[in-house]
Amino acid sequence: MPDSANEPILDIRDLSIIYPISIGTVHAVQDVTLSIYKGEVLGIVGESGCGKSTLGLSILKLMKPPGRIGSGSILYKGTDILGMDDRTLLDMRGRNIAMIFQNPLTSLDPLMSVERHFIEAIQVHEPRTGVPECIERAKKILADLGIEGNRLKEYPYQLSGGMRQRIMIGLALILHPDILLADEPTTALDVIVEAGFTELLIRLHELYNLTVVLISHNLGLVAQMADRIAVMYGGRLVELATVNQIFEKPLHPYTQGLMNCVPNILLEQKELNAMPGSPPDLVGEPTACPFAPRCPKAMDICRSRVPPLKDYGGRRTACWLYEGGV
Amino acid sequence: MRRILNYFLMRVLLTIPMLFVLLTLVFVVLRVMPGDPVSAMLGGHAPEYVIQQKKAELGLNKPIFEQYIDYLGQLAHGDLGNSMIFVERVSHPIAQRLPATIELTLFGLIVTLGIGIPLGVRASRKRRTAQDFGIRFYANIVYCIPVFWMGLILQMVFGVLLPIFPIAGRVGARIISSDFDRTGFYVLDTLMKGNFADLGDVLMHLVLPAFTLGITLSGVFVRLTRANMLDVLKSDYVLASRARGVPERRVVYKHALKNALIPIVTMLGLQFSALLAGAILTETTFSWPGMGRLLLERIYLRDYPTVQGVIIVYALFVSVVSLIVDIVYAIIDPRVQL
Repeated sequence: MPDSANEPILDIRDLSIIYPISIGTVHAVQDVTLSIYKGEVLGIVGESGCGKSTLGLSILKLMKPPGRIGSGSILYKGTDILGMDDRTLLDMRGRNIAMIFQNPLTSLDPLMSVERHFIEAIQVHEPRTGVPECIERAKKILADLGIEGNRLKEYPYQLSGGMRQRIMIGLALILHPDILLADEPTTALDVIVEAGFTELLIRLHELYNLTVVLISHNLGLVAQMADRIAVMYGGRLVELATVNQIFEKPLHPYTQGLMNCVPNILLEQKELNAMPGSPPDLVGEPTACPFAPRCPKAMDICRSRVPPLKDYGGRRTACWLYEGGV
Repeated sequence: MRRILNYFLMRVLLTIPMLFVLLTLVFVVLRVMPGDPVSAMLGGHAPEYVIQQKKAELGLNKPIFEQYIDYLGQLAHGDLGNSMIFVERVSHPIAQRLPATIELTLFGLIVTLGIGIPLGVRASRKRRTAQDFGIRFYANIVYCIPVFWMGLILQMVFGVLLPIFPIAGRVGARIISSDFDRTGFYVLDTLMKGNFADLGDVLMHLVLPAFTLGITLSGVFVRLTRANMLDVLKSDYVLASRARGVPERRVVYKHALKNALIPIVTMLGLQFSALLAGAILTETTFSWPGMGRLLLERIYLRDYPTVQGVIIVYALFVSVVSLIVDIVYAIIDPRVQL
């Protein structure tokens, strides 16, 4: 837990993101309140469609159309990102908050050399930096990433997946941002490359004094890197606690279910557990706990009222089970 | 460099069998068609011996296979032969008319792309709005309109009702045609002479035919550009460059459009023959003295060698364009090796 004297670098308050579609309104993210502190690694976990990627994109105000802000704010060092004008927004993206995406194979422009990517990344923020200096800086960062400088002249199709992902990181870090948003950064990589990449990310976290928001459904990766974990379900934040708390004593039944689904080789588990049911339909205003239909401990109240996110001595969860305390 | 040279050589060698097949087809079809140059020249009532005499003169009394071999022998020397109707070499009218056709198709192409690509980009960015709907409506309408009818409408509106543009020919009557003997490309000729009054006149004459051709073909490119832009704008690298703070204009034109251009260039190569076919009709509508009209006139007269010659030149023209398309490909896309 970051000490309370530490001001949050990113403060998400009551954020709701909605997608108006023909059959109604999809509440992709609902009433999420979350503070991210300088230097920490915050993991956001949840299954596909739970709103974690939408939340990540909204931090850069890059929701996919027709998504828009329903309510709430995202304060970066005290300024609301969602209220920024276009110029400030463009200036912030990449320079203050950078993002890397799931699929390194398609995240680089196939028609541009690696070098041009770096030159563009630098010059859109610092138009006066000359090409030779850009290349110099790109070479330096590539050295940190374990890529030879002569790779700069190459095109994306000439590079392996792991290399492309490292270049994505390089592009994200070239301007020394405070915050790195990593949206499923290892999903497209094989296990060996993933392990190397995770190590690299941990090293860069220290080297560049980064705050990392790690969005993933890979609990192993999150456990390895994160200080705190935010669990999302049905567009809502259902639990927020430190890694140890989550893995030792998960409170929310959904989190407990997630932990059960992690295969454990040491305990010689006979069968791989899976959570029954599927993620909720997010169309329309919810009137019950979204997890109630799948929850083994569901009570009457769970089907009639949405549980609020409550604080239990530094950790938070949204569940009616703990009305009387943990 | 050596590789590129080999590539060119390969392409040139590959056009030879293509030309050969095309030529054989044209040769046979012309002679199977009812009518022949002799009856076209002499009419239906000439006495039999005159007809036979004329046929012998033109070599038409020989078996078709022998005629074919003779013609190929001639071609092998780079000789397109003599006209069967007029006293001239086949290459003479072609050399005169080819620049007119190239000029028309080139400007038609510029109009096609000049309308098609920007409208397509705009429609993709304003997806599902009134603008998008309007642009798609335009694309569908012009796609359905036959090129000659488009020509007639434009002539009527901008030539007759609002007499802004001339509706026929390449130049006004007051200009002496010997001013244009340098290259035959009137725009170039007037530019080289620095004769801007004549250049203006030439350009004014180009407007309606070029737009007729360009508008008709622009529909395909609007739709193609829009569809590809929508695809590319959804791609990860577009999102990634936005996340790096790249301004929207640059994202759209530098990253998205450049990637969307690849299938557009392919389509351009494929549509070029449609452009030439459209040019034949446009030339007829606008009395444009190009290859298309030459071809039509000589088909009516059954001037076999000239028709064959024109077809060869058309085929070469298409081959050259497809070669250029391949080169443009290699310039745009680093993954493509010549």
